[in-house]
Amino acid sequence: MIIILIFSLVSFLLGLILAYTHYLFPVKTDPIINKINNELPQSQCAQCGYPGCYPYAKAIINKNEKINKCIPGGSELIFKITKLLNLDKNIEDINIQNKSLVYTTVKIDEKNCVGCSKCAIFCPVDAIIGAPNFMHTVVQKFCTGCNICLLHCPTNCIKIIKE
Amino acid sequence: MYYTLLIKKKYNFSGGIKCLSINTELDNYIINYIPYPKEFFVHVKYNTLKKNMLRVKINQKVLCGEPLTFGDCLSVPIHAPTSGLIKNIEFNSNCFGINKENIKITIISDYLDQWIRLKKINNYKLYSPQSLIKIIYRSGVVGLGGAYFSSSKKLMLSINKVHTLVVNAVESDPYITADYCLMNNYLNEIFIGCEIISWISKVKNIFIVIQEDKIKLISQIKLLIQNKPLFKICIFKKKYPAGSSKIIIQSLTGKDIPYGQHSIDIGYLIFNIATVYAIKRAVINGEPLIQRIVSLYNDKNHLSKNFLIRIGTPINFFLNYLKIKNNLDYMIYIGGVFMNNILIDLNYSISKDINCVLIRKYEKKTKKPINYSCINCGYCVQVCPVNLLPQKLYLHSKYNHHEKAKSSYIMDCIECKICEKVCPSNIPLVKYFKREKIIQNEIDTEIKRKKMFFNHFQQREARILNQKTIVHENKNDFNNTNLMKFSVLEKTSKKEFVNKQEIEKNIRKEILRSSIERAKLKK
Ligand code: SF4
Ligand code: SF4
Ligand code: SF4
Ligand code: SF4
Repeated sequence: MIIILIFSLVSFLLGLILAYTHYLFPVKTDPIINKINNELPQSQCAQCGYPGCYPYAKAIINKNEKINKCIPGGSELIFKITKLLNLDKNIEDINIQNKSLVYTTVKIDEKNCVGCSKCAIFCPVDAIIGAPNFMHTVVQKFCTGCNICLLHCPTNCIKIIKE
Repeated sequence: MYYTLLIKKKYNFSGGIKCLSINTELDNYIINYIPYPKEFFVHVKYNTLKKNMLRVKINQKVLCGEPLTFGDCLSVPIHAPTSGLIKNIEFNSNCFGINKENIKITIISDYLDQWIRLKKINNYKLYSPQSLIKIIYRSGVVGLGGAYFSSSKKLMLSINKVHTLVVNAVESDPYITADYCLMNNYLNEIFIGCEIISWISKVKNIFIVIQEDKIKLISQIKLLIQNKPLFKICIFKKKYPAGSSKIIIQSLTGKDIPYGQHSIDIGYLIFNIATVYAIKRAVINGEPLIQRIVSLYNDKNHLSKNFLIRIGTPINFFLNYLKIKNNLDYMIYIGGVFMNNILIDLNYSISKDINCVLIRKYEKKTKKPINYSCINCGYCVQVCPVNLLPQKLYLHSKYNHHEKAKSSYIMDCIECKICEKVCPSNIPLVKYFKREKIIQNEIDTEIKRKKMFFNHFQQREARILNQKTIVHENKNDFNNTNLMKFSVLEKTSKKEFVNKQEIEKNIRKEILRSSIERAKLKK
């Protein structure tokens, strides 16, 4: 009897301590969101319709967003997220066995650039440099290959190249 | 047994397998020369990012020893093995090894063998270590034991960090005799090479590591080092695999070198004997590295010979010269009995990292060895020289548990193939490990890329925020705390704050998105 009492007391106290620590240090982010965010390519290109990778990861969890919206991630990413979230659809038609990693970057055809600096505004990682009315260029090392700048160039002078 | 008295202690390591010694006649160790072929194929390995390394054009005349490529921080220049005309430069001739692209330079020899002017140095002590390292770099010396790591970089890293130079005279494979042959013929030059290295990196002692069966050589070295306090000889048990630098350090000091670290970090500098010889030739004679000693090992009649070969000699020519013509009857491997890789293209040439050509008579296998499943017998665990658990690694790599495989130290495996040899179930363990290692490297680069992108993104956010604060400070109608909310990340985590600016921003974003969609439709 006494033993049961002692144990119930101890567990009650422990519960109190746990509750208090949780109150003191609240969990800020959902760990699963962070996990998904780690899987996303971090291009921050907004092609998924969200301002960045983290908002998209959040939307997947909180708003039941579809998981196939990230274009740079491709089918590899869909497979990873399905595995992470234990969804069991779509696995059959994803072919991951003979994947080959091809990174792409973009390149500005520097003769045709008029220096409107529209592309530089939209680059999420500051990979395009150049001043207004001067030639712009892409720093190949920083370019994530998200292709946003392609849509904004009025003279169509940005090309995709394989790294 | 006079030599056993001289030996105090034999160094040993756990695992590994003992090898039978073969009956070798003495004349097998003499260096043989072969004539120069008409065409040399020089292969340059390159990374995709560094394409403008070439220094020569097609139809250009080159002299012997002229550099063909520019080096960079990772790779050293490669030199023309003979004088002649450059006939062709091919890219991506993928004939040996997976995932390695290379440039193939074809040189037609004019049989004159004209050298460039060599700059000889008689007293190397007049030069500073840095300039000596530069000479070694320009001569294109790499680790000739098979590591292909630039020696100049190794020396550069080692300055003021190491206390011991370990000269590795242990053969990487038990039946290769290239190193032994080199020591028999050029012992004095090797000693000069050791002194040059000790002058560059200021080591306090030099260990010469050698295996126990080279009795004559050991006594010869002992005589030579009698009045040199710097030198010491360490004798290893004859076992496979002793040639790996990881294992040598482990048995000398008892310390493990984890993956990603180098023996330099714990104060030991390791050089293969052939590399030491190449360094001596580079510094004293001013010669670039254009030839090396290659063992030919024939499985059937134990006819092993050593050849001094120019780098770039096609293996086809080499075999033709030796009258091994019927290639259907033979299987040609690169590397010794254990480390063998089958050679697909006979036009592949001797490169700096080939130390043995193995010829085996082709046997038609009557039945394929069946790969049974692992029975947890633990034989592989007992023999692994770096104390890994191959059965565990096998399971993890087979079922794609990449994180678990990494945490059980798959990157420490030296691919010695011993575990494969002893496995009773015939599992090709090392094949799995190699594949897993490639995947691990891919994962690593992926993670690095992600981190880099995220950092750039954050920097941009900070920059934009900075610009905004400057603008608003001028206007003087907002505090900084409110402005913090404009950052994308900040905004998405706290949403209760809505004001005029934010609505404006949302509208702008809406316009942007619709414009993107329009553009997509247009495409
Ligand atoms: S499309 Fe992919 S990479 Fe681009 S922002 Fe969305 S999640 Fe990130
Ligand atoms: S959008 Fe096109 S034209 Fe304008 S600066 Fe960029 S590359 Fe040049
Ligand atoms: S191949 Fe790797 S796992 Fe197998 S015995 Fe050698 S070091 Fe150990
Ligand atoms: S030797 Fe082969 S069968 Fe035995 S434990 Fe190792 S992998 Fe399994």
